[in-house]
Amino acid sequence: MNQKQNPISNLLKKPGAQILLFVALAAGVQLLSGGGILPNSLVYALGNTLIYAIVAIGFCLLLGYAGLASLGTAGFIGVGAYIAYYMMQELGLPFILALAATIAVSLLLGIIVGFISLRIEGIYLAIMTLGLSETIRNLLMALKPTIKIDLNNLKLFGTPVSDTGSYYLILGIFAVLMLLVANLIQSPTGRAMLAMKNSTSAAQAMGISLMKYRLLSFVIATVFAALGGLLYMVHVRTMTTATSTLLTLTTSLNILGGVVIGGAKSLWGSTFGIFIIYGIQSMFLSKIQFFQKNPAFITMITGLLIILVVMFFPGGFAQIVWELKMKWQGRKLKEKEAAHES
Amino acid sequence: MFATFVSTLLSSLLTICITCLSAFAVTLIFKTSTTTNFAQGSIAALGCYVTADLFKKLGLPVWLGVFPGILVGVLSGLFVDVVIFRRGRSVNPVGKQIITMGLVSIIFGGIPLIFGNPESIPFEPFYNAVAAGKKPNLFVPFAGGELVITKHSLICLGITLLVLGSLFALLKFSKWGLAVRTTASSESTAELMGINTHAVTAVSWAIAGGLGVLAAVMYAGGGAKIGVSFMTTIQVNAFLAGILGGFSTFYGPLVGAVVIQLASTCVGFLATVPGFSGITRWNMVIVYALMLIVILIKPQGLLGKPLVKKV
Amino acid sequence: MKADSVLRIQDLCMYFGGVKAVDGLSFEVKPGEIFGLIGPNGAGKTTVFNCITQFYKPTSGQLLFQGEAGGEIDLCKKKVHEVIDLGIVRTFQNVEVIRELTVLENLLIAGHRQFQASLATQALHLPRLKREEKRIREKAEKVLGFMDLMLYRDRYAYGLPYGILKKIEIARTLMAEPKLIILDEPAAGLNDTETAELAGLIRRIRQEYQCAVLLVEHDMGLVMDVCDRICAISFGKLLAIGTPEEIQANEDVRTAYLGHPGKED
Repeated sequence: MNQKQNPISNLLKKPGAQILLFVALAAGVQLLSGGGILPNSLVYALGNTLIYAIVAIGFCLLLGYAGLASLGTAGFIGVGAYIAYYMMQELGLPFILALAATIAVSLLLGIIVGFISLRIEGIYLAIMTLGLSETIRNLLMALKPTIKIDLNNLKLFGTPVSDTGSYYLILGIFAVLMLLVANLIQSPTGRAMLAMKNSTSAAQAMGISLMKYRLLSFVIATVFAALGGLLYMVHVRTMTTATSTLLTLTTSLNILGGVVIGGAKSLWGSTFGIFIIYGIQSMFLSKIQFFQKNPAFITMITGLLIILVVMFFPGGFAQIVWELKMKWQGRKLKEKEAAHES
Repeated sequence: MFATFVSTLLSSLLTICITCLSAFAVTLIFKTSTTTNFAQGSIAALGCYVTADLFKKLGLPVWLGVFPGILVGVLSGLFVDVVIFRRGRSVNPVGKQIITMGLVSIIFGGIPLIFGNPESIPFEPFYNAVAAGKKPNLFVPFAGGELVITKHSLICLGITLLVLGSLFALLKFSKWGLAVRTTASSESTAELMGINTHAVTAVSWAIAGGLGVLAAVMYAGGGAKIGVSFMTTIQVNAFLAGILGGFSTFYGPLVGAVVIQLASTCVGFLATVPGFSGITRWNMVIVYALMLIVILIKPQGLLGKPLVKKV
Repeated sequence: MKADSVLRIQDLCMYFGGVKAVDGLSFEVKPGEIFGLIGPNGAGKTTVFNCITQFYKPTSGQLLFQGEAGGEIDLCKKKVHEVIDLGIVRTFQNVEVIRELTVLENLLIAGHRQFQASLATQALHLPRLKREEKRIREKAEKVLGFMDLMLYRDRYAYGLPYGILKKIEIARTLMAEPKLIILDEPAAGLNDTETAELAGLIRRIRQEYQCAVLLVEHDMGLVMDVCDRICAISFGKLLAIGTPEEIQANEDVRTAYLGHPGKED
């Protein structure tokens, strides 16, 4: 413990600094593409990936910390997307109102799912949330079979928002939510959730209210997912889709897959996992002709990765990185000892 | 009116059979491997593609082609248990769940690669014998009206009763059944008592895979369009049937399956009542909502036994 | 009302369907007392603990705890996670240590109720949270020092030896300003040396924290050595209450344990 530490690596241990670095990188990509060095489509794909990363952060807290497996993500994203469509397209209301409505509705939904999780545990919960997601999808289908949006004159506080603007909006929201969750998991709340995940009895005996923390984790996951849906609409701007195909089980599985591949206990790991599932596909693979012809191949690779990671690295990429780091540190320590002895 | 109602109920016979088969498969795996197999539906779809492809390319009749399809289902089930689960580093139930989800992605991606066109394959005409000029339906006079039953659903009912009946008999009377029931109540105890639990879970996965394909072929034969995810709804219903009926018994999920499908049909029937015509769109929403309420009131399921948490 | 007892159990009944796990049990634990609860397997000892800590809601009967102000508090009106606020803390038969947390963090979990920082304060990591965290960390380190666990402070609980895990559980109870510590088979799985140490530890805890200790234990050597008074139960019913000597001499207790009276000699 008394060895001197590099001030830079010390600073990088703080979530705030990590996020700033990430934002700087993401902004850099945008600036380079604005300067014509990187293609525009790359920024668009990165924005898309960031949206799913927001969903993943909430899911990471739910699965990795609270230990609750949910398959309802697609439904929750759908709620946000539908509210965005209805309020901004049908009613022509400003973005801020749609944002408020999304948060309010998903908050309520999160509380309901949280209550369900108190009654039904473990494996059953995954099935119930899947059922709920299907219910929501059917509900949206019944309400409006096809969605057609055209948000090209999107405004925020009265000023028009360009494509670049919405990219920064997404990046900003990602950064803020990331910071909040990173802080939460390093506080009593994060510990309480882990305690609940490991042993509900011990958690309760130590004064942790299951109700409070189950509701909290579901509210966070649900609100983040709905925000993802809202931002998705803002980002895509124009589209016509049947609600039956907009959000299916595949979306829930992809989010889950990203979080598991990246490491359910690591926020950056989960972000990285989402990047693998959505980012690599939309940014690079879709440029290669073979994958353009066979998009199904990418789905297969995702599935294979999920299985391999769960089989051999239950902690995901974050665990692989951690194990490598430990090995490296161990070797360095040995080298030091060897140097002492000689 | 009454005859129409009974006819409507009878029209759900096929989906009831399919959901029952799927629910039994899900329960078998749930009880022996303490996990839910989310790939149940996609393995079923895979086997069904094989049957359909054999018909399309070689003209193999469905009653024959269903066997290679079932074989693919059996092998896929075995593959999951023997190759994936057993090689993993300490895979817990949630990990197993996630693995089966990964498998869904592989099959979803794999089907279009193997079978080319991910669009549905026309499957109905050669089975229902419409093309051969035979009538697909039976008409039975009943209560001043007429009952309409498809021959297909009657055949499927027969197969389902036969298959499930023999499986229940096996569970109850055979050595294998005893081994399954022992493994279901405690895997480690079963192992200590000299039961080869590996064999028990492997056979369960094989049976589940086969049942899935059988159900999928029946479903496609009834007119459902084959697609990579055409069994998803059935599978979700089968899971929910398990929860509704309670996973603590083998027959509970079957009761759940029947209840869910009948409820859905009843809501559908309401649409024929004047003033309720719009209700069809809300069918699934209403059924799911009702089910959620039932499960919230009785989390252990309709026929389940409450568990007291041991501290 | 008797004010000289920390915990008063009156006619406690806990039925599971037709099974009477606890059937009309009454006893009292006095302040600063080490009280043993013994009985053959399945006598309902852990069920009594689960009733006290509200994991089970008793079928009938009263569980009264001596409150701060002197009045008695009805435990049945508390929720499971509120029981710790009164200073009632327990350990578990099958060691429930949070494996994904370090030893120190495991102790912080027990101090969870002492954090007053709001959710927003936590999400923003405001100075108030840091102050609280520092205070409770120091307290946890003091407990670790007392329990001789400082060596393991930053180790993850996953993979630590059984004896250490048991110690962590006891250390956790000390975080909550305990008035009544409930130990469920603390010596199970420990070797002779560790059991001997445990006896000393229980006494030191009572001395240092001025609290009562209620323990269930099968190791009769430990129970007879460390307890001031013992309550023996069988099939959920009271057999005898008394000093270790009285219990050892009690005919009913011998029958319950050995089946045949007098066969021992």
